[in-house]
Amino acid sequence: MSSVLGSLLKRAVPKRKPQKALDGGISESPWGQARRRFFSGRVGPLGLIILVAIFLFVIVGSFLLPFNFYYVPQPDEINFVGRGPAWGRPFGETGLLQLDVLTLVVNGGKTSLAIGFFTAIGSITLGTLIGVIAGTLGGRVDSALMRLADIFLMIPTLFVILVLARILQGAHGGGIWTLIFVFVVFGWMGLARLVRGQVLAIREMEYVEAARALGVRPLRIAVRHILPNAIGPVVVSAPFIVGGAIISEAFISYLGFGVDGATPTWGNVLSESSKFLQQGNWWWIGFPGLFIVLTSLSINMVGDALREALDPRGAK
Amino acid sequence: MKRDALGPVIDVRNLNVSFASATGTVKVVEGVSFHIDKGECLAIVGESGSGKSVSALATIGLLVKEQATVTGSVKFRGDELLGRPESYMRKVRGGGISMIFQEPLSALNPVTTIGEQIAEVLVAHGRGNWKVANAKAVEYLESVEIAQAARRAKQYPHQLSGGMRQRAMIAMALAGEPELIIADEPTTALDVTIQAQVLDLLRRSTRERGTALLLITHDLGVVAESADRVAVMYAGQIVEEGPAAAVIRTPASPYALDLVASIPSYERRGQSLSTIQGMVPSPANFPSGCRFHPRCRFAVAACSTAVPELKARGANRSVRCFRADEIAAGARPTTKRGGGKK
Amino acid sequence: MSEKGTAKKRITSDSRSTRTTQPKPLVQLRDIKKYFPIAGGIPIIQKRQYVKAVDGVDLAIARGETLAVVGESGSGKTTLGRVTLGLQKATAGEVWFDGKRLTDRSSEERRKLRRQMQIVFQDPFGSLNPRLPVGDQIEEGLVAHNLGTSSQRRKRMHQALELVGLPAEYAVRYPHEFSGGQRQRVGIARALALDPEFIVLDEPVSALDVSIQSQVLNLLTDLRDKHGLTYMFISHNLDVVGYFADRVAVMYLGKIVELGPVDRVFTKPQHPYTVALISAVPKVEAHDLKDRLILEGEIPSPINPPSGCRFRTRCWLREQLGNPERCATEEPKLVATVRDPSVSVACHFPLEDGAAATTRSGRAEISRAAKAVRSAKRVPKSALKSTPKSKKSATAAKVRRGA
Repeated sequence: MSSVLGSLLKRAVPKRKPQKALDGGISESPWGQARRRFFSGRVGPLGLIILVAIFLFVIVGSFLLPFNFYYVPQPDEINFVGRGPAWGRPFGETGLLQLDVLTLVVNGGKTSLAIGFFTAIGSITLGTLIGVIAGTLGGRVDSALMRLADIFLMIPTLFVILVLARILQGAHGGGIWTLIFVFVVFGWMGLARLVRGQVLAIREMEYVEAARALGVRPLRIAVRHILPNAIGPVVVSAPFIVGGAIISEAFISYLGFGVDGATPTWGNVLSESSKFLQQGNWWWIGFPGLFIVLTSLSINMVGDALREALDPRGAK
Repeated sequence: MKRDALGPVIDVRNLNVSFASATGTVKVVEGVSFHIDKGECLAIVGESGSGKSVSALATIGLLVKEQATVTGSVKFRGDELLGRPESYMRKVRGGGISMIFQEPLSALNPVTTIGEQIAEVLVAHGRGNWKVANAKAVEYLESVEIAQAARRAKQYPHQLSGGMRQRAMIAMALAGEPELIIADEPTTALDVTIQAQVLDLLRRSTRERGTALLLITHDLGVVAESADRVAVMYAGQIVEEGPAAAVIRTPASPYALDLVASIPSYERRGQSLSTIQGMVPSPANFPSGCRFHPRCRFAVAACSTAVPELKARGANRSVRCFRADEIAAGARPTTKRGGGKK
Repeated sequence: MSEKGTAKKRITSDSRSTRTTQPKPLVQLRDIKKYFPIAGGIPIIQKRQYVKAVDGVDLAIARGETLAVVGESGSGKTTLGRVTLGLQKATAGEVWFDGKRLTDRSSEERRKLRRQMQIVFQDPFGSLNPRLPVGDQIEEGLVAHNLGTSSQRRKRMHQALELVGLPAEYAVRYPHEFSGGQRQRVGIARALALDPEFIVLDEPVSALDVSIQSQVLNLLTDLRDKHGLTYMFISHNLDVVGYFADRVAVMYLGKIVELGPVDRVFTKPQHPYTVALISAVPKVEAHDLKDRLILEGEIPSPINPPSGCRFRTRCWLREQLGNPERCATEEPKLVATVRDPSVSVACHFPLEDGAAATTRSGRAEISRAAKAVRSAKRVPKSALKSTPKSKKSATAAKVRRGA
C-alpha cells in the first residue's frame, strides 16, 4: 500500500533517496519526513486505502463490465421500478431501461474520477504557473495577473459553468473534456494566489538572497530554491481539488447541464435516478451516491493527513 | 499580606521538570534549588537548552500540566506553590509574582491601550476604581521614565518602540506591587544603548521597592552588571552558584571557566578565544556521570561514571565538580582541546 | 582555494595595525545612498517619503583587512552590506571592487563578479534552503559560474566542508539535521566554495550561544589568516568587533560617525555616540553601574532624521556644551582628526579622550572643561544654562526653532 502512495508522492514532489551518512545516521529529506509522518498517522493511510480501492474497483470493473449506450439491451417491458440487488446484479437494476447499476457505477466512476484528476492536474499546473510568474516577476505582471484572478473570482462561477457548458456542449451536453476545460479555467485562481503568496514570502528568505549572492541565475533560483519550498500548500490542496471537481460534476450533471447520459458519470446517474426515487429504486440512487461520498471522504482524509504531514510546525 | 520579611521571598528546592515526548519522558531540569531575598537579584545564566527558562516557568506554574511533570518544592513567602490549583496560581501571578518577557509585543494585548492594561492590573488588585487606576497608570509610566506618560498611556503597544514597550512591561509588572519579578531575557531583543537604559531601570526600581528579581539571561555581561548572585546552568542542572562578581571573576566549575573565557572582547584581541568543544546535549540524551564531561577539559575517568553533587565551597559558593579543588589549585587540563593560547 | 589564497599576499596578524596604510583598497564605496520609498500616502498630493537607510557613506576596505561596521538597529549597517555586494541597488553613489566600478554594470556582469564577493548571513536557520542537502547548496555557486566538472565540484564542496570543520560526509544531510553553529559553518562553507576575496559577514555570530560563538569566531580568524580574506564585518556587538576587526566604522542613522583602527577607536573614542556605545556594553569585568553613560531617548526615525548632526537629539556632550546652535544647523562632515589622522570623526566638538567619559568622574571633568570653553567664548546666556532635565526640552525646542 505504502509503495503506491510512495510512487504517487514521488510523482507529485521531487524526491531524494535517503542516503546513509558514514557515521551510521540516515539522512532524511523534508519530503521523507513528511512521508514518514503521513504513514505514521491513522487517517491518511486509511483514506488512501479507500481511495486506491475505489480506483482499482473502477478501473478493473470498467474492463469487465464495459458500457455502450448504443448497445444497451432493450427491456421487454418498461418498468419504472427496477429489480433490487441480488446474485448476479449486486447493485440492482435501474428502472426504465433496466440497466445494471454496477455497470453504471463502474463506468460512471471512470468518468467522474477522470474529471477530478484532470481538473486537478490542469488547475494545479495553471495556478502554480501563474502564481510563480506573478510572485517572481512582480510589478506590473503581478498586478495584471492578480486583477485577472480577481475578475475570474468575481464572476459567479456556477452560472458561467452552466452557460458555458451549454454553449460548448451544444444542446445535448457533450464530452467530459469541455467540462474539465471549464473547471480548469475557473479553478486556478485560489491556487495562483496561494502560490504567489508563498513565493513572495520565500523570495525574502535569506537562502534565496544567498543564492543570488552566489550568482545563481534567476530561473534556477525560481525552480530550485523557491518552487520546492512553495509547493507544500499545493500538494495539500490537490486532493481537495479532485474531490471538488467530482462533486461539481455530480452537481452540474444532476442539474442536467453536465455530461449527457450516453457517457455515464456518477452525477448523471444520480440525476436520472432521482426522477424515479418516488417509485422506490433506492439502490439506483444509493450506490452512485455512496461512491461519491466515499470518494470525497477518503480524499478529505488524505488531504488532512497531508496537511498535517507537511505542516512546518511539526517539522523539527 | 506580607508575612515574613526575614526569610527568602522565594525558596525553590530540588525542582525537577520532565516532559512527555514520543520517545518517553525527558528530564529537562533536575535538582534545581535557589532562593532570592528581598531586594536581591539572582541571575540564572545558561545557553539555549540549559533549562533556565523552563525552571522559571515551572516556578510560577506556567508549564502546561498535561505536558510537564514538576516535582520538588517552590515556597513563595513560605507558602508552597507546587500542587496548587490553577486559580490560586493565577492570583499569585497577578499579585505576588510578576513576569517580564523577552518580546513585550507578544506579552502585551495589542487591542488595548498601555494605560488601560496597567489600570486593569490595579483594578484587579482592588487599588481603586477605573478612574483612579487610569490616573495611577500614568504615574507608573512616569516611574519607568517614559516621556509624555499621559499621551503614551493612550497609545497601543504597536505604536511604541521596542525599548518603550519593555518599559511599559516593567511598569505593568510593578503595578501589581509584586514581591518577586521574573525577567526572562528582558533586554535581549533591544539595542545596546536601549538595553543599558532598561537594565538600569529594572535594577533601580526593584532595589528601591525591595522587590526580589529573578533574571534569566544568556549574557554574562548582563549578569556582571545587574545581579547580586548568579546560578550557572548546564544541561538542566545548576553547575555553579555564588556572588555574581566572584563567580565571573574566578569561576570554579570548568563550564563557567570556559564560558567566561570564550567571551570575545577588545581586551582579548589577538588571542585565540577559548572554546567549548562540541554542542550542548539535548535533554533526550544527557551524558552519564557529569553532564559536562564529554566537553570538559579537566575530565578524568571518574567523571564519566559518577555524578557530582552541587557542593558548598567556602561561605557562599557552591560548585558541581569532582575536581573543583584541583582546578582551583591550578590543575592542568587533561585534554588539549579548547584551550586559549596566551 | 588554497592555491589562490596563498598566492595572494597575506598580511599576517602581527602587522595588523599597518594594514590600513595599504595603497589600493579592494572595496571602495563612494557617497553611497540607499532610500526605500514608503508605501502608502496619496500620490501627487503628498510628497513621497523615504526611509533613508544609508545616507552618504564613503568607505574603503584594504585587501586583507577586516572592517567592522557597528551600529544599532536602523543605523543602516545591514543595508550597507547588501549594497556593497550589489544585492540591493544603491539609490546614488558608486561601489568599486578591485579597481572595477560595479554600479551601473549589467546584472549579468554583476552576477559574474559575485564569484569574488560573498556573504554570510546572521540567521543560521533562514539562510539555508530546507529542501536541499547542504552539499548541493554549497555547490550551487560553482554550478552558477560553470566551474569545473561535476566531480571537481564535488571535491571542491567536500574541501569547503572540511575547511569549516565539518566532515565531508555531512554533505548529503539536510539543514534540519544540523545545530545552529553547524549551520553557520555550512553558510561559511557555501561562501568559501567560490574562493572569494571579499566576504560580507552580516552578524555571523549574533544568533549563536556564547561557546559556539567563539568557535565560529576562531574559524573566521583562521580562514582570514590562511586565505588572505578581506572581511566586512557587520555587527551590533562591540565586544565581538573589538576582538575581531582591524578597523571599525560606527554608524548612526545611515551615516558613519566615527571611522578608524579598532585600537584607537576603542581606547580613545572621539565621537560622543561611540563613547556611549562603548559604555553601554555590559562588561564581564564588573564596574559600578552608576558610572555608566546611559543615553536618553530613542533612536529617531530614519524617515525624518534630525537636522544638522543626527545624533544631537540624544547627545550628552551637546547638553554639557550648552546646546550649541551649530549642531542643529550644520551637518558635521566625516573628517580625519588633527590629533590622529587615521581616525575620522563626524562631530563639531570631537572629544580628546572619550574613554574618560565612560566614568562619572571623567564626565565631570569634561563638563568642567566644557564650562570653561563656554565662558571663554561668551556664549549667549540662554544657551549657557546648564540644563536640568525639566528645562532640557525647552532648550531643545529653542534650538530646533533656530534651525
